[in-house]
Formats: sequence, C-alpha cells, structure tokens
Amino acid sequence: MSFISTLPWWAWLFFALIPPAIIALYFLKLRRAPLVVPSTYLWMRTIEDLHVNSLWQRLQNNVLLYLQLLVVALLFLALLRPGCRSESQLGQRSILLIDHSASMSATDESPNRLTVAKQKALKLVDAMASTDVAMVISFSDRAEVRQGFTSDRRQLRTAIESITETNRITDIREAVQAAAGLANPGRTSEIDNVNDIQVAEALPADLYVFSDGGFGGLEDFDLGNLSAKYIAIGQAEPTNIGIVALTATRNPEREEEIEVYGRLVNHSSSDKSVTTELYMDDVLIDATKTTLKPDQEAGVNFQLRGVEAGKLTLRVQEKDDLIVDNEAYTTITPTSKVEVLLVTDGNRALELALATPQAQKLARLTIVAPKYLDSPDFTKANNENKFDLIVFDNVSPKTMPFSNTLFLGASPAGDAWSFGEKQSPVMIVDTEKDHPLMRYLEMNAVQIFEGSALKSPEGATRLLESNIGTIIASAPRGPFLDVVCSFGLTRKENDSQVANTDWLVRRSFPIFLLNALEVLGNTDAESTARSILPGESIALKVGQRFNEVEVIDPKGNSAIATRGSMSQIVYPQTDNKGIYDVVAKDSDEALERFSVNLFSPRETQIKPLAEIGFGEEKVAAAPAQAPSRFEFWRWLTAIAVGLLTIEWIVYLRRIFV
Amino acid sequence: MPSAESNALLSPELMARLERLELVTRKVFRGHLKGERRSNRKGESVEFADYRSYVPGDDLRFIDWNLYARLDRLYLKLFQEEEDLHFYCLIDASPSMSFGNPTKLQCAKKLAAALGFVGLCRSDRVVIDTLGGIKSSAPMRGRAQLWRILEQLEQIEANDPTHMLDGVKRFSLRNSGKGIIVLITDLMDKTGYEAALRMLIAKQMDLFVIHMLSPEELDPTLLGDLRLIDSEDRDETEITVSRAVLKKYRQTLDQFVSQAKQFCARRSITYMLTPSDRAVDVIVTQYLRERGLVQ
Repeated sequence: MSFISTLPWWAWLFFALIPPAIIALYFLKLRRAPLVVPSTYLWMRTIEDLHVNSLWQRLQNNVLLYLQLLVVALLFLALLRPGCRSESQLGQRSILLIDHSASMSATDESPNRLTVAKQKALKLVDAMASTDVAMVISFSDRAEVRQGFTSDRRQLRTAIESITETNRITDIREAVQAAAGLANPGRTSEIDNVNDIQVAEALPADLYVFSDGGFGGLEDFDLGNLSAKYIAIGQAEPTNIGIVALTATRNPEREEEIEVYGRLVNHSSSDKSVTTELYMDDVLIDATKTTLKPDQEAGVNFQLRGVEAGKLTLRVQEKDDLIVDNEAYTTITPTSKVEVLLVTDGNRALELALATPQAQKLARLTIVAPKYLDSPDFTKANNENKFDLIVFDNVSPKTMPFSNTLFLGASPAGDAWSFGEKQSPVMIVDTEKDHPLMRYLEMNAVQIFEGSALKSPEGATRLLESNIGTIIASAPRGPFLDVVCSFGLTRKENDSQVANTDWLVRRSFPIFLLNALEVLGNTDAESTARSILPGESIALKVGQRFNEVEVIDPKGNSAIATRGSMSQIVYPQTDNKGIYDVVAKDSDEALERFSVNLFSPRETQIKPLAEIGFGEEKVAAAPAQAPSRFEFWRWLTAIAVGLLTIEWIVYLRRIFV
Repeated sequence: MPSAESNALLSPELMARLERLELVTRKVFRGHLKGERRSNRKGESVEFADYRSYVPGDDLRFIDWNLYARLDRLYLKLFQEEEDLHFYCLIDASPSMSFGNPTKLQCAKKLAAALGFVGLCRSDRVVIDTLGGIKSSAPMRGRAQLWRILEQLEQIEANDPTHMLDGVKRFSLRNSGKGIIVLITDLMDKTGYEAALRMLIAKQMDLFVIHMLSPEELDPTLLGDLRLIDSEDRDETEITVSRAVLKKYRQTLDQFVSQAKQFCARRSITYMLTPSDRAVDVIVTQYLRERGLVQ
C-alpha cells in the first residue's frame, strides 16, 4: 500500500479544518420552528436522556456526526490516492488492435486464437481506470473502428465481443494508420516526409496489437506518439499445412485434357505426409500422397480427361491448427474463343499477324472499316458486350466501347490519353518485360520511323519506353483495360500507306498480338475461373445489358449485385470460401463463375512472430499484463457516498435527536 | 345579569339536571349556618336523633312530655342538626390552561359553575377561587348567588403565573373553613404538585383533584425540528420530534398520570383525569358521580 498526495500542503491545511468545522457546526443550533406549548414539562422529561448538555455526552450517541466525520475521513483518504501493485492496467489512452484475419482462426490456442485475443483484450478493459479511455479497432485485410475512444467499459466490452472470425488476409497498415491519425494528428506517419507537419496537439496513446503477426507493410511507418505493445497470440510451434495455389490448365494441344496443379506448404516443425484429394462436383476423382519437410513447398499434379466443365475442390486430409487453408476451389470452364474486332482501313501485316494458327485458336477475328463504328449493328453488339477486344488501327472512336481496347497509332476517345508532337526517329530504350503483354518480346532492335510521346492517365503502366518518352502504355478503364501504342504501324506518305516500323516483320509483333489476345481477350490457357482472396471485391464480367445480377455464394445464399455509377458491377460480399455463381437475375442464365480461396502464404504461416516492426522500431511480443498500480480511491469515494446516503436516511427518519 | 359566556358556562338544561344533585363529602364538617344537610351534631331539626336526661338550663321546648308522663322523669328530645357545607372550587388559571379547544380553563370554569350551582342549590357555602386569587372570593350561599359565581368565573383568565404551592398557601390562609375542595388543574408545575396537595390534605379537606389535559397534550401530533416554548415560563426546549420521541412522550405522560393517581390514592385524594373537550354534564353526572363527589 502506498499513497500519492494529490494536493499541495496549503490545501491539506484547509481540508484539515473541515472536521473541527463539522463538529463546531454540529453544536450550532438548527433553525427550528418555534411552537408555544402549554408546558415543556413533559417534553423535557421525555428527552432528558437525550437532551444532555455535557459535551462528551452530546457527542455520544450521535450517529449523524460520526457518519459525517467518517465521510470526510474517507474523502481525505481518497485524496491521498492509496494504491497497491496490480498486474494489469491500461494506460490513459489506449488503442486495442485486434486481428481477426484467417490465421486467427487457428486452434493451437483453445478454442481459437481470436477468442484468446479477445479474452486478453477484455482483461485489459476490465483493469481500466475510470478516467482511462480506449478504442477498439479490428483488422483483417481492412480496418474497422469498432468503438471510438470511450471510458465506458461496457461499450468497449461489447465492441470486443462483437469481433468475429473471418477468412481474410491480414493488413494492419490501415488499422495502425487510423490509430496513428489519432495519436499524431495531421501527420502521415511516413518516415523522411519533410512536409509531415503536426497541425494539432498530439495525443500519446498506447497501441496494443493482439495478433499473430502475419502481416507486413509497416516498413515505412512511423509510430510517432504511439507506444506499441505487441501481444503475440498463438503457440510457438503450431502445425499447419495449407494450399497456397490451385490452377487447372487445359492442354493447348488436346483440349479434352486438363492439368490441375496445386501447391502445398508445410508450416510445421516436423515432416508431414499428407493425402491430397481432388473432388469434382463433390465427387472424389483422384488423390495423392505428399511428404513435406518443415517449411517446404511441394506441388501436387492431377490430370483430368474428357472434362468439359465442373467445380474442382482440392482438399488436404490433415487435422492441423488452421483448417481454412486446407481446401481450395477452382472451376473448369468450357473453351471459348475471344471475340476480336479489328477496325482498320486496311493493314495487311496486322491482319496476317492476327491470323496465325495460334491466334486463331484463341480468337475469332472480325475485320471492319472505321465507318462500322457509327452503325446500329456496332451499337447493339457493343451493348451486348459481344466483343472482348477491339483493335483500333489508326482509328479513334467517338466514345469508348464496353470492351478492352488496343489502339495502334491512334488516341482513345476522351481527354485521358493524349499524344505529343511527332518526333523522328524513335529509339526504344526499355521494355517492361514483366508485364504479361510484353513477355517474350525483344524490342531493342525494333526501328520506328516516327512516333509521339504518350501522356497516359493516372494509374497507367508504362510498357515501352523510348528516347521520346513512353510509347506503349496500358491503363484500366473501369472493368476494362486500354492499351495504347503511340506510333502507327503504317503511316501515310504521298497518299499511300508505308510502313512506319520494321516491327511488322519481326517475330516480336505476332507475339505481342498473341499476348494482347490472351491478356485483353480475358482468356488464357488455364480455362479456369478467376480466384480472389476472401473479402476482396470483384468486378463481374457481365454484359452491359445486365444492370442487376444474382450472385449465389458457396452456401447457397443469393445476393443481388447492382451496376453502380461506374460501368461495372462490383460484388463485395466474398467472405465465404468457395465457388460463386453469377446468374442473370430473371433468366437464371449462367454468366460467370469465380472462386474465393485463401491463397496467402502469409496466412498459412501461422507461427506467431516474435517481434513486429513499425518502421525502424521493433516491438517484441510481450504479455498483456504490465506491472501497474491499483488505486482504491474510487472505492473509498463510493463508500463515502454510500455513507452520505445512510446519513441522509437516518436524518430523514429522525431516529435520533 | 349573566353574560353570554355565563350562559355558555351553564346551560339551562344542565342546570335542570344539576338541581337534582347534591355535593357529597366523605367527612362531616361543622358549618357556620344551618344548611340542608344533616350534621352529626344534634341540633334543631325535625328529625329525631336521641334522648338525654334533662339538666337545668335546657330548653324546655325539647322536653318530651309524653315520656315524663309515663316515666315521671324528664328527658330531652334530641334532633339531628342540619348544617351547611363549605365547597371550594380552586381553579388553576395558569397560562398553560389556555390550550385546547375548548380551552382547559373554559372547561374548568364550566365544571366550577356546575359544581357551584349544585352547592348553591343545597345551600352550601360555595367559594370559587384561583391559585392566584380573585378579587371577591367570599363564600356564597343560596341559589340567588349563582350570577355572582358566574360573574366571578367570567373574570378568570389564563394569565396567573402563580405556582401551585404558592397558590395553595394563599388559599389556605384565606379560607379556614373545612369542607370539600375541588382542585381543577393540569398539574403542569415544574416545581411539582405534591407539596401543594399535601398542604390541602393537612387542612382536613375532602380533596378532589380534577386533572385536566387538552387533547394535544394527551395525543400530540407534532413532528419535525421544533423549538418548544413553555407558555408559562417561556422556557425553550429544542427537540426533533420523531415517531420514537412521540412514543416516548406518551410513555412519559402515562407515567406522570400514574404517579399522580398513585400519589392521590395514597392520601385519600380523589383523582380524575379528564380531557378538556369532554362535556361538563358528562363529567359531573357520570364521572364525578362515580367518584362520589355528587349524588
């Protein structure tokens, strides 16, 4: 037990006068109503036992006086802030960050990590002082402020208890940015940002992170006034084998053959021999046994024949600590060709390049003159989303179509893209070979007679750089992708078309077009549905004629997705793992199928990190409890208030004179 | 003429009922005048009492000649003497008697008027007096003196600060006759009532104490923080009246009445407690009859 004086000496001197004052006031007469009675003889005899004049006797039997003095004594004691060592207590301002990503569903802690994290957070809230404030933020791939700063423990408890498990990946950045915004107002919390000026008074706070640490992205984060504490959730040696990838690829030579490839990883401390089963439409069709060493990845391969379409499920038969990554889903879709519209005044080289056997396997080509763009047929086809890709050769449309586009020597409609002055010659400097459009291309030897520098919209990817600037770039436009090549394949010279580049005769040109068909034509050899992470939004690839579609989730629940202000229909409710069917709202016409899988090596690696980094600062895992002081003053004050109430009741009941 | 208050003191109906009553004493006293009640003294009346031998000097009118004829000896016939009775009504007119509705003093006055009327009707010598004394407290006799009694009573006001003992002393000095004395008081004397009563007993009086209390004294309805002011000596008592205090007051009152009753009983004093709002005819015809003051 120790005391902390909360008042200066003169204030104590003042308060020391209060008890004598109470006793003095006690002897002062009450303002009593005068009443003339025949005789006070009997009244005096009645009260003579109580109505005594002796000081000591007067003090005796006076409960009211004692109660008042006791109240004052308790309040004095409360002002001394008596307290003792306690085990856990939050700071004055605390921010509780609770991870509820997929890895927090791991059962190495009983019953699971999230429950344990919530229990630890609740313990901290219970130990809060009444003047302390705290806020609760849950995070997975997004942050959600469950409860703003409050000292109401009931609200904090409710907020913590409302956090539920998810299948999402972990991204703590948004959550710590929200917390940092409160502790470091007006700051971006970015290291070395010279413009980072604090515009409001900082509010230091303790940041409690209840997580297994399966996140990154905080390398450039500055905690500022935040004091971070990392409460690691999870056992040191958890067991988990997860599927981190699943693809089904149709054999390009024999379309009836499909190769299913899955990748497993073992995040356990020992060798694991697991059975992986493949189900098609919930029927077991194949299985294989794989042995994995600790932290080793391995692939599993299945070959399917005569399969046109179906739902594939890959399942690891292993009871580990995290079951959510033990299943993966994909679909096999029927083969279909990309509808390509080539708008040109005539370009033999381009037509030949799009007519290669490889391209013909992928696409069905339609060649039209520019005037077709003004016809009702095009408007109808465009509205029905008939074309997957439109190639504009030296032609600019008046409005952008509802499909992916490839512009060659022409600018897209609108102000987003613009060409600079034509310059000559154009020397290629760099190629973005990592981009699927530019893979396998060797562009350094390509000669271009004249070209313009591209001014691309924000968010564009520069694919080909030259001495005059970017000459090929791609940029998304809603659900579509536009690829613009600022130089034409041909140019007019003396009323005749002449080649503008020798790219036409190089091998890289048909490869580029093949890449364009695969990437912009929304097709690839895998013939599988798109796969997204749980919780991610997906832009549905449905025709423009549909403003509303029905999405049926793996549990059979259906939801209506509506076209928003943009030209696409975005569906965000993808928390459940599995295969989602998109159908037309009224006709039940199947439009699309996509799968939701937890393909996240970070989530599959469930071993809790020993420390987490906030920029340069490393925060080691620590217990939630910290030595602190438990104060009694509020209990003393509560007792004093209770005594005051009793005194009031005693006085009202007039039990004693 | 009797005033309105006099009428209020004694209604004709009550007078009619009282005419039939007479004051009774357990003791026989020598009166000054012949009255309407027999004395144990032999005297002149029509009621034969005894014979005795004639001695020279006796009134020859009382010799029984028939007996002389038979026995040849002279005997004198003795008759019961009829005497009057001293009836004193001593009223406590202290300020404490001014409480109640009607006031204790008003009730005391009515009672005195009623008893005095009974006495006058039986030719007793009636004296109405207060502890502090009134101007003309001479004995009155005969029914015709009723108006004087009423007049005297009218003049009595509850402003007499005399203590009971002083009042009784003064009364004893002024009135030497023996007889019935009815003391109407609330006994609320902080110096005590015992010495005063003892003094009255010492005068060989047939003493009746009518203890008159107002309803608010018998069953007070006070509550809260009060500064009680004594109506007689202006003494102040601060008190917070609670139900517990009221309960204790009633216990104290019961004890006080019990003590007074016991004190009186031990000294052959007739004690009667009556509230001031009790009807006088009921007090006289019922309660005092039961206690033998009237018959």
